[in-house]
Amino acid sequence: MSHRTTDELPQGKQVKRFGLIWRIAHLSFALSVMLLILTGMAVFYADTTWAPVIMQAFGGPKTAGIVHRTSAAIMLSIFFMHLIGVATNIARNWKTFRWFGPDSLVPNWQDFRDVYGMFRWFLGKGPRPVFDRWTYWEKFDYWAVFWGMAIIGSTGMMLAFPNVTASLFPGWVLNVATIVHGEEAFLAAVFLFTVHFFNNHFRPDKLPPPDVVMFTGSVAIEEFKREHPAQYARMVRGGSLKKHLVDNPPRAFTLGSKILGLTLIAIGLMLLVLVVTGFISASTK
Amino acid sequence: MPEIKKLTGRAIQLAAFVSAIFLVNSLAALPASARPLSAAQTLDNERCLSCHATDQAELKTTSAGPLRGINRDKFGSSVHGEMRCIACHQDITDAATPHLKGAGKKADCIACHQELWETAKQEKLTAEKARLGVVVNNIETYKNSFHARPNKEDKTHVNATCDDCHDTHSFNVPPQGTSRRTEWHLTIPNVCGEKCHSDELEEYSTSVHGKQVLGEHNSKGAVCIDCHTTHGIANTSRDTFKISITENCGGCHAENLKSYRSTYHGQVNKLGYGYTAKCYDCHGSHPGDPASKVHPNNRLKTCQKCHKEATQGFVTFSPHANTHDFEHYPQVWIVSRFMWALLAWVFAFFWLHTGLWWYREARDRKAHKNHPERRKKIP
Repeated sequence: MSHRTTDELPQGKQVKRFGLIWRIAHLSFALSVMLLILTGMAVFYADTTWAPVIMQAFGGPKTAGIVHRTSAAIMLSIFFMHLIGVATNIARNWKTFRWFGPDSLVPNWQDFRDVYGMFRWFLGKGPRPVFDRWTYWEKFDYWAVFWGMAIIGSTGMMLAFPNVTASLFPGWVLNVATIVHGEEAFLAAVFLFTVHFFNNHFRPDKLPPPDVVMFTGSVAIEEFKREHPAQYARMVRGGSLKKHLVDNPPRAFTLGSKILGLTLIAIGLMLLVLVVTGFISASTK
Repeated sequence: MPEIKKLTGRAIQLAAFVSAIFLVNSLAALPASARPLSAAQTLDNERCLSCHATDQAELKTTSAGPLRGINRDKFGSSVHGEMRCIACHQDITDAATPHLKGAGKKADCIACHQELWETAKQEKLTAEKARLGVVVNNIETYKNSFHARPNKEDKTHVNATCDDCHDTHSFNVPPQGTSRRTEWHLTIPNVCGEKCHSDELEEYSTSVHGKQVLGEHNSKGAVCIDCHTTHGIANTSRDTFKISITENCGGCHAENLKSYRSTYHGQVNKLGYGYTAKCYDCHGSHPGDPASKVHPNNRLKTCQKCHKEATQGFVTFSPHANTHDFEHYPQVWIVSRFMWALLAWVFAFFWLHTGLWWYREARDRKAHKNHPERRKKIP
């Protein structure tokens, strides 16, 4: 039944998934995080052969420190602007907004059922779960940023302003902040460049990388139907699919997005190699 | 007037040089048998020691000061003990007082040792004469050191020559692991301190290292070269020194170096920049009382040397905290374990998730099960 609906759709259309501002936010967020990882890991893994090379390229730890803090300021402002954006959106739809509904990023019971269903599917014991607008791993990616901002952001601030920190707290707080900042950044970096990359770019269904939906903003109907069948069905039932259809993005735009996506993936994988070599050399010492 | 004097001096030097060449050439032209024995060739070591040996009643004093004394036994047992004096002192041609300096070279450790090593290389005896290679390496290191640079007060001299530290007439570094080596090691503070670095020696002798070495003759106590290095010694204001000093202290204080390396101070230092706190910035360099700068009462002042606005909490910050000592650093211990557990669980879950997903999706694709119309139900 569903594929009959598809056949009736006009060709050359895509489904809109991310608005322009969200895409810009994602891109600047990604770039600032990568700069933070590069400058931060060069200090965290100072013992490696690559770290002094990175430091010299930046012109020394003082400049790298400025780059690190500037990137942090960019990253945190994007995060807070996002908070304002989300709050405005919810406030505007206050009466109709369903906190645990399919358009909300708030985790619900269905997410836990989906995790269970996915593992059953992995083991060949059940069908592949069908997802609505937000899958549980997308929700995890989203909320992980909140955790990361709170933990890495707050400890980073403590380390950036040690005089203030040490006038409010005992000195061991700085010791603890150093450890938490570094370990949490390691977690974030490795998670992004393995799990996030796999989920969105390197799964067999997504090959070859990159998935450009976060750069073009829209996704081919076929793929959308495959990745978010519940949402698709919901749209068809409610008659709102047409509202979400957009023209295929211009060829040059798609090509540019692919180049951008591949570049970011390449940088991310290079950073992953640096972090992993750092981890290995630190733990074999 | 001074110009004319200078010119006259130059002219005399030139004349002396030309006549020396002429003399050497004319001698070389004669067949060996017909050549008269030169004064230098008759100068054997006994002849030299008849004036220079320290076992005489008293060394004579000439217009240039007392004669350089040579300890006959020490020279005999030194690595150069088999050599003739004039093998190095090629400019000495007579036994007169003062010596009439000839055209030969003055004693030149560097040129001689480099030549020896070149010869060893040509004869393919580098393995047998490995020690000569070490000396040549040391020479190369020395050439870039602070000691090899011209002295500030007297630019015609370098800060220190080989002889200043090694006493070439008794030079014999005993093999490692011997008791003689231990004794030799214990003399180092005096070698550095007595002639040149007397203020440092005075400070050092009151320090924990100095008390160990000079007072208790404990060879495990650090002497000058353990921290400052030997041939490559650098001015303490240079980054090369500031970066190597932490490794040198860490050679003994390994655990402290390790904890230092896990702080920003140590990380930046490791990256090759000397501006963050190094061992001596907090602990002093040749301190009288090692506790004084890091004692809780003085600590804030020590921090404020670099952190001008440092506040009270700096006193209780642990620049050498580690993650395995619960007794001293309980908060660090707890937090590090929490973080490791968090990382382990997150990665365990998601990598398992990723691995299984890869496996299942790849299998489904092979079986062409990925098409949406083949999916079972859509709610």
